[in-house]
Amino acid sequence: MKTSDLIKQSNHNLFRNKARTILTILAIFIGSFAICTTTAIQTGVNSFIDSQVASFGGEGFIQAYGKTETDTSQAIQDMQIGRPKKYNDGNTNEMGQPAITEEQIEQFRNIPGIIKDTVLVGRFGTVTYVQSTKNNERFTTQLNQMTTKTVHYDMVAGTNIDNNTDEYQVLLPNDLWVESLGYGSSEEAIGQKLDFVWSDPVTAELKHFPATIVGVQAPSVLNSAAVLINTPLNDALYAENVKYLPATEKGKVFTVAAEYDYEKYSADEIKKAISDIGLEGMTVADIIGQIKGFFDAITTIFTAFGFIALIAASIGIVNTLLMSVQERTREIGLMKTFGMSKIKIFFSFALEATLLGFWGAIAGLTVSFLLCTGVDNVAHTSDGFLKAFPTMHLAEFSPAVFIPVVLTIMAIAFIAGVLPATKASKKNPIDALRYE
Amino acid sequence: MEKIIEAKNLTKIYGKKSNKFTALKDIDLSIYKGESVAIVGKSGSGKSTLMHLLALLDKPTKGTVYIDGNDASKLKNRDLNKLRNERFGFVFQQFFMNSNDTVLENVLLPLKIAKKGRKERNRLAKDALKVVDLEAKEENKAINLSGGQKQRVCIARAVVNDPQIIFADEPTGNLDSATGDKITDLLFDLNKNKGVTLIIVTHDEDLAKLCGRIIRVSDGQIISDQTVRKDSHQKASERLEKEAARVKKANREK
Repeated sequence: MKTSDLIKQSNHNLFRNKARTILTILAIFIGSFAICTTTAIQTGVNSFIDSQVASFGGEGFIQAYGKTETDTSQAIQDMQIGRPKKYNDGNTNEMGQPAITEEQIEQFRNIPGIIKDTVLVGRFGTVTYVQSTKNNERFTTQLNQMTTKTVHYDMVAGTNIDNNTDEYQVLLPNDLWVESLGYGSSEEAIGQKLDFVWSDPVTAELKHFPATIVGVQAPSVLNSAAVLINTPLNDALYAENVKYLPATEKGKVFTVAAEYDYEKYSADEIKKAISDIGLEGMTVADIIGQIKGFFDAITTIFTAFGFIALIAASIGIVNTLLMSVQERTREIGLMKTFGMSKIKIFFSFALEATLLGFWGAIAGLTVSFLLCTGVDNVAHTSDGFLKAFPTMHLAEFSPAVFIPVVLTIMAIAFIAGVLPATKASKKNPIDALRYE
Repeated sequence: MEKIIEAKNLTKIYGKKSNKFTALKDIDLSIYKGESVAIVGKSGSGKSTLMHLLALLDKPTKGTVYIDGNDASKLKNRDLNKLRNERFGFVFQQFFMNSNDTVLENVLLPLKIAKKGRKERNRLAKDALKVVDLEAKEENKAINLSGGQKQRVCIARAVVNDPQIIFADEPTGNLDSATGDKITDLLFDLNKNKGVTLIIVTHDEDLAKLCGRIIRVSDGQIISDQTVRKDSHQKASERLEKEAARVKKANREK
């Protein structure tokens, strides 16, 4: 028998006893649905995180802190449980990280691979309020700084800030800002001024730093809702902030950041060099790795449940096929009488099992796809739970992911079919024909 | 005459030790090309077992079956399957059809197994249905046919691969005498006009008498092997010719 005929016949045989076949497929469907859904969500979330990673600071971004006595994770844990930390002459921050010296900043700047004009020194300017030049509303906000070399923000409109210009520039974190500042659309806000105002703590004089709105970001889970400003604006604000501080306090820095030439240098090489000057480097991948690892662990558990469901379903396949072999004993005998080989008989039943797996997998995939797409659409409506993240898709169904899933389920079904198929192939034609 | 099947010392024992049952004892037998042979015996005499061994559906405990002088036990499984598929046709008392498939599907099953293409197998199956005068029923489901029609479909299925030997196991056993006669006519027509060797297992003496040779089996042994007198053979031919004339006439009237 030709392979194409064999497949057709197996599929035809499959639907002879429709109720039984559909129930078996249903069992496979449950496993397939679970696996497809968790895998798709994992892919969706991971690709969202990946797209957010770029917004957090590109491939070459690296941040450095003073080395703590205890390791970083211990420090975070200590902070969470509220362990009191010893005072260290004002030279450590609330995380227990020591201040970075001017010498270390200079050494950091000169590490081979660090791109000098991207270096950001952690002297963060603050602002009393920002004021819209459109509706004159005032808002308080945190300010953020970022390197710009390999950073690709998820932008709704406009462009990224430029740190190497004299103009004061600002990037709004989301649409809510656009609305609150009185603009009808993100596009309308581009090119407009946002006034950064510092109230002098001694003279109460208001100092104005009007900055150009260059872009609006898509909402991101990784950058807080902080307004992103360019280096000239930050430096101008910081100079006002620390105007009355003594010189020793003015220069206190706890973090430096930069981009390195990631095409030529590995993250480990740069981290090693940073370690050599008494600092500790952390790349975006290090930070994201922790988030992803946690999420992967959860989805892996769900996928494992899916596989358990599949194993239960494969027992259903064995049962269905054993019944089918029993029912079709005469037919098997007849086909053997007509010269059909053992191996072909085996494959006709094994194929039937594989097809059960195939249809179950496809059904699971289809329902999973429809459901996830539906939920995703609902989640992005005006009061859905993902409305703040227009670029995030709950689940992503890429062929690279679901083809292996379908093939795996088919392989499991095939293995389940081996026992009944062997039984069928071993039947003696005479016994099979005599079977009542 | 040319020997097509030869059996030597054929013995078949079922079961082991205390349950041992000897179905056939040292059978020697030659069947010649173009013969029509009836294997007659009571139930349990071993006649079906003998047919199964001759048709290479089962392996003897002892002894050898030769097909065209070649030892069948030395054939590889693949060649054995091919031999059955290409050179043998089978008709059974219980029909053995896939009742939910169409008549055409049932008839072309041996061709499907032989890896024939769709067009060719459809053509051959339609030709075979014409032989049994059932071409109008090709799209019907097998389950909806009468007993006689079913057996005619089975004959079409047996001849679709243009076999040299047809094995028929009680072909009229489940049919009334009128329909049975029609089936018999079809089988003998193939024997007479196409030179197909016919091996019929039956306990029906009337059917046996139509054959050119009657082999009687009892308790696993051949008790007689006789060539039938010509006149009874003649009768069958006459009846056949009458029937052929009737079919022709019917066809003309269509």
